[in-house]
Amino acid sequence: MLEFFDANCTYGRNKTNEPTPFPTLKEVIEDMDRVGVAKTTLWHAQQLESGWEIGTKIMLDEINATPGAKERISPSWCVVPTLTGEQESPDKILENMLKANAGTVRIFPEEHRWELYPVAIGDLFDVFIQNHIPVYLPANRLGWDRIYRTMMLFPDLYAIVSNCGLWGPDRRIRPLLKAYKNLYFETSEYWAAGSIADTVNAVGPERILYGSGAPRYERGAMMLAIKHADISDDAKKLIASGNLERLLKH
Amino acid sequence: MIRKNSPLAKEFWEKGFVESCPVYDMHGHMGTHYAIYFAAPNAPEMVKLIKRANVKKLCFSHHFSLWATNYVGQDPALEACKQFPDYLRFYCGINPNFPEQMMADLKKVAEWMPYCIGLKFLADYHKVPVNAEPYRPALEFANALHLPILFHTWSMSPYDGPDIMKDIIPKYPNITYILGHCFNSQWQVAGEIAKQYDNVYLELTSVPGTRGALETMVNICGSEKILFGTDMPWFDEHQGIGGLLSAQISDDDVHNILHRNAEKILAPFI
Repeated sequence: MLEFFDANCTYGRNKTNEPTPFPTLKEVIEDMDRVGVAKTTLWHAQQLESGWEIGTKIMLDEINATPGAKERISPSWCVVPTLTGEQESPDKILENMLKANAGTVRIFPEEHRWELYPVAIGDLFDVFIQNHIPVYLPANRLGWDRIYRTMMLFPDLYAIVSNCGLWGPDRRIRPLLKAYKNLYFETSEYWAAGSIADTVNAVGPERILYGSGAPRYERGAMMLAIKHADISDDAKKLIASGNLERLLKH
Repeated sequence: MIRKNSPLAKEFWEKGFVESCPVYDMHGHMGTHYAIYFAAPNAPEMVKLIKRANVKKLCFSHHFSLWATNYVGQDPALEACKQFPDYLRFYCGINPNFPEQMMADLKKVAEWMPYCIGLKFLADYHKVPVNAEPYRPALEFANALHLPILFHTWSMSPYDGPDIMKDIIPKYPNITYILGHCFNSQWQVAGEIAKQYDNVYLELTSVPGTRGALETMVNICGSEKILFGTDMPWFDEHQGIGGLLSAQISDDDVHNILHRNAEKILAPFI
C-alpha cells in the first residue's frame, strides 16, 4: 500500500480574507482524510503576511489544540536573519523548532525584505545544514536564478525546490539535482507526461517528493500520476512518502 | 484512494484504467517545443503512455504546425495518425499570419478525413483576435462543413477571451466550439457560455487538479458540456484523471467528461 506524505501544503486566512478551502487546520485534515493522505508538511498564510513570530504561533497553537494533528502535521518554521536581534540565536531557533516538531523551514526573503546571502542568513543556514534541516526554495517566489545562486552559495543546504511551474522544469531542475546532493524537489506542478518515470530513470527516485500544492491543487491529481508512473513499486514508495520521512529524521 | 465511495475512482486507482470508462483526450499536441523538455514528445512514446489509461483517441495538433506552420504544414500530424490510426486524430493547425498556407491546408482537410477531425486555433500565440478578418476564411470553412474547432481560450484575452468568443459563436452556428482551457480561471463565465449555446463545449486542459474549477462549471452547464483534455505531452493523463476524480462530482459526470460527450462529437471520425 502506498502511503502519501504531502510535501507542499498551506492553509489559513490572509489579510484580505480571500475565500480558501482550508481556513483552519480542520479543513486541512478533512481533505487529507477525503483523499487518503497520511501526513503533510504545512505552513500558514500568516507566516508570510504577518511574519515569522505570530504566523508560526497561530499554526502551532492550532496543531496543539487539534486531536491527532501532531502525528500527521509537520509544521514548517519561518525565519528571518538573526543579526537584527528580533529572533533568537540560531541554536535557540533550532531548539524551539525541534521542541515543536517542526521539520522544515519556510523563508520569504522578498516579502520580509532580506537577502539570501551568507552575510545575512549564513549563521542560520550553517545550523540547518549541520542538523540536516530542509529549507524550502519555492520557484514561484524566488525565481530560478535566485535558487541557483542560493545553491552556489550554500552547496550543502538541504533544499526542497517547490512550485516548479506547470511548464516542465526539467531543464532547470536536472542540473541542480546533478550538482547538489542535498537538493530535492516536489511534484505539485510536475505534470508533464511521463516525466516522473523519465526523471527516475535519469537520476533515481530518491530526490523526488510527492507534493500536492493544496489547497490550490487537488491532492489526488499527482497521487494518481505517481501510483501509475512506469517505475518500480519501491520507487513509488520513496516518492510518495519514504524520501520525506527520511529527510525529516534529522 | 482519491475519492471514497466511488467505484470508478477505486478502479482507476487500482489499475490505472477502467474498461467501461474509456478516455477521449480532446486536446493534445505532439513534437518537441522550444520552451520545455518533454519525456514523450513523439507518437510512439505518446501512444505508449495513453494506452496505460485506456485512452481510445488522442486528438492533437502538432507543435510544428502551429509554430512553424508555413515551413512544415500538417505533414507530421498526418503521418503520426497513419502510423497509429487506432489511437490518433489531428486538428489542422491554423495560423492566420500565413494566409496562403492556411488556405492550402483548408483545401486538403476533406481528403485528410477521418484522420483530421477539425481545426485548431491558437490565437493568443498568433496574436490575431479570433473575430478578426484573418480568421474569417477558416471559420466560414468550418461552418460550411459542420466541423469542430478547438480554440485555445484564456482569461481576459484580447484574442480568444470570453468577449471575443461570444462575438463569433452566434455568427457561425454550425461549428462545434471546443473551448480549450475553459478561459482559464474564468470558470463561471465559461460555464455560462457553454450553457447558453448547444454547440459549445468546455475542454479541460490544465483544469483538472485546480481545486473547485470543475465543480463550478459542472454546476452551471452540466457535465454533458465538458470534454477531457491534457495538452499531452504537456500534462500526464493520470494527473488529469486524478484531478477529475478528486473533484466533488459524480461518477456519472466523470463518464460524461471522459468519454460520452467526445464519443458523440467524434462519431463521424471513428
